[in-house]
Amino acid sequence: MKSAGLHHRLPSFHTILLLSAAIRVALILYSEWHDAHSVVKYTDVDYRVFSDAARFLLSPGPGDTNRAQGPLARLLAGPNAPLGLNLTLGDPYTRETYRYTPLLALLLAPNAWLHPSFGKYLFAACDIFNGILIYRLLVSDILPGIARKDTKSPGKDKKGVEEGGRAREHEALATLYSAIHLLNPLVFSISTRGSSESVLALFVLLTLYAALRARWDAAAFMLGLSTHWKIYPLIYGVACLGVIGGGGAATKRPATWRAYLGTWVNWRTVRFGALSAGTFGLLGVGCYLIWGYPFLYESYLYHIHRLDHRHNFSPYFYLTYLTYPAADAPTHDVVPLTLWSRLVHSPLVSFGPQMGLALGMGLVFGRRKQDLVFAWFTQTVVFVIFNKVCTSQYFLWYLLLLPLLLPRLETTRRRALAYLGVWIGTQALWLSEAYKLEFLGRNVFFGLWVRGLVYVLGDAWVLGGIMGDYVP
Amino acid sequence: MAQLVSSILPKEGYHPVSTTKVTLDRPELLADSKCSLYLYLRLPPLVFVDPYELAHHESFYTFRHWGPSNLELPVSAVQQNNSHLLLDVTLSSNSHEINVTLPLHLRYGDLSKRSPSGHHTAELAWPTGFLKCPLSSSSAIRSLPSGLPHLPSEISSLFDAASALFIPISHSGPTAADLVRVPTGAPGDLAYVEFGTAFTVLVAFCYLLRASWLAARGVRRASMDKTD
Repeated sequence: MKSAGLHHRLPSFHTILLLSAAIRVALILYSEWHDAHSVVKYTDVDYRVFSDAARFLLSPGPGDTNRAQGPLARLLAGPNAPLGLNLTLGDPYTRETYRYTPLLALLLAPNAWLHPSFGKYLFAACDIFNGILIYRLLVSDILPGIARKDTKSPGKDKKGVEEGGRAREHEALATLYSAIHLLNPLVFSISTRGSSESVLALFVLLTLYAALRARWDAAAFMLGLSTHWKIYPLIYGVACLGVIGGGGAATKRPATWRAYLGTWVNWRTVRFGALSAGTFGLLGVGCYLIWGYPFLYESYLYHIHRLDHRHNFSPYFYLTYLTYPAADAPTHDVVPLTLWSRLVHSPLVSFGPQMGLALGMGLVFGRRKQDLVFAWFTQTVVFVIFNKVCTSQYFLWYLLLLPLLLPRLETTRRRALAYLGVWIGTQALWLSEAYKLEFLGRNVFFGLWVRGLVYVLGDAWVLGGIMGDYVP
Repeated sequence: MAQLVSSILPKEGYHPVSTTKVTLDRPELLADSKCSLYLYLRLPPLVFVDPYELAHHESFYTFRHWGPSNLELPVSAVQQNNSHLLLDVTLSSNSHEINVTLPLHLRYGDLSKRSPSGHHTAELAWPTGFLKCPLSSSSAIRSLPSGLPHLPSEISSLFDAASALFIPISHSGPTAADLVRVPTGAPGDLAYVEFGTAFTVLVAFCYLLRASWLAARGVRRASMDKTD
């Protein structure tokens, strides 16, 4: 993007921050009014789930119900509790459909005793902080690192002026790119509706922040925390391996396969993996000790076998609905599964392409620090495209990284508009049909499924185009 | 003494709202009577309530629920028993009319019960309404016909027919039930869906595999340029 004189035409980053904060506060206040006066709520159902879980966690009982079921919790609540503590914690998993880490319920505890909208303000604050992180990454790491083909070496007396001017242009560009996140309607509507994606986004950005500064221990810790929150950030660790193993700098081509493998498996990457896995393990063990098997099942095991039959962007929903196991399966099967059906339903078709591409891209693109954003972006997009369930919140996982990637994309305005048009158009196509199904009760299952296929192909095309436009 | 009429709106979609209007002939009788208004609903397996959502209506009514309550499963995956809902409606003084709004949700339909129009339909009976008044109520109330309506045993066991007056509320109108219906998937689509999904995933995978290979060449070339 041509940046000359941009800083004269754009508001300052502080202005963008203030505007972003004002929009979010206004929407949260509006959500309170809207929900009190309308049957159709502004607030997402998930926010009610989080809030209820927080309330259950803070208020154990009555009697033996709603109590944390971990061994440590039972010890602390029992008559033999050390130091006579007799501390009782509730179980957030008492709340049906709460399938998140208990740390999220803890984080939203003030919803119960301070204000019901506390969580929304927290998520909005995370949005703002994410925007600040994006700005900092752009100004200090990404924009200065971009090689300018048209840069001529200035004379000695002009060097200071050139550098000062370049810094201002970087700040202006960083403001523009971070505004893509801060002023993105999808971003601020999702957080003000009470979705917690911005919290995980913060952890992911902090991981990236540490990685781009080669602070790998901190990055490992944040990656472990991110993966505890949701499993998918695990794929970013794979992209980090090659960067860590190569010292974060450009590498000579390894002479042998063994040397090539050695860039991924060496003492530095083993340390990174161990720290990351250790953080994940410690958090998991800690939560298990307090909340027991319900934590393990709802946070992780449920997701292995989940069947999402209700309509969502992923075309798998219709397949799942048509073959959903019945309660009384032996006598109730409408469509018995053939060998072909079993193959189609097997992880080979669903999980294989998703993880094959996500991990493969991480290994192949994660060779230099300056390609880490590109690696993470492409990994996230393929993970979302091929996932068996996809809702609008999932798009935030990669939209978060887009402002950091844009400086390294070279494309024409026409192609950029085409990408945007296809990305938005495929969603609009699907949403218009989904509305007919959900609210008008029209039988549009087949058409909705076809639009799901169009969504997959459309987003794959957009990603392929972005990959072609990437300037390493 | 009272009549009720119930309706479901919207008639289509997965999130209908049941609105029950209870009209009291002589609201002044209930003014100081300490009577309670109850509505009982029998919900077919296709219909469910979200108890966490209903908890936010506590200023209008409290509730108890029996039977299958899973919030996520399609109808074919739940036990084919009705569930039961008992609402204890807050009575405001001297009000001639009481409106009770109950948000409902519909499960995905059973493929085996798909009608030619492509829907799964179920009947939702109007609520059974009754007033529970203390035996010490005014003579006007004591003179009304009394008797606990026919309710499932788990609900009728909550009330002692001898310890209070139970005044039934009649239905007003020609029908006493509504129909709810949801669009239902077509089993005949399965072959197309299996092939189409697998084919699309494969095409997208191959396209991105090729794009990744080309991008990887560029990344590798760039890293070699830096070291040459």
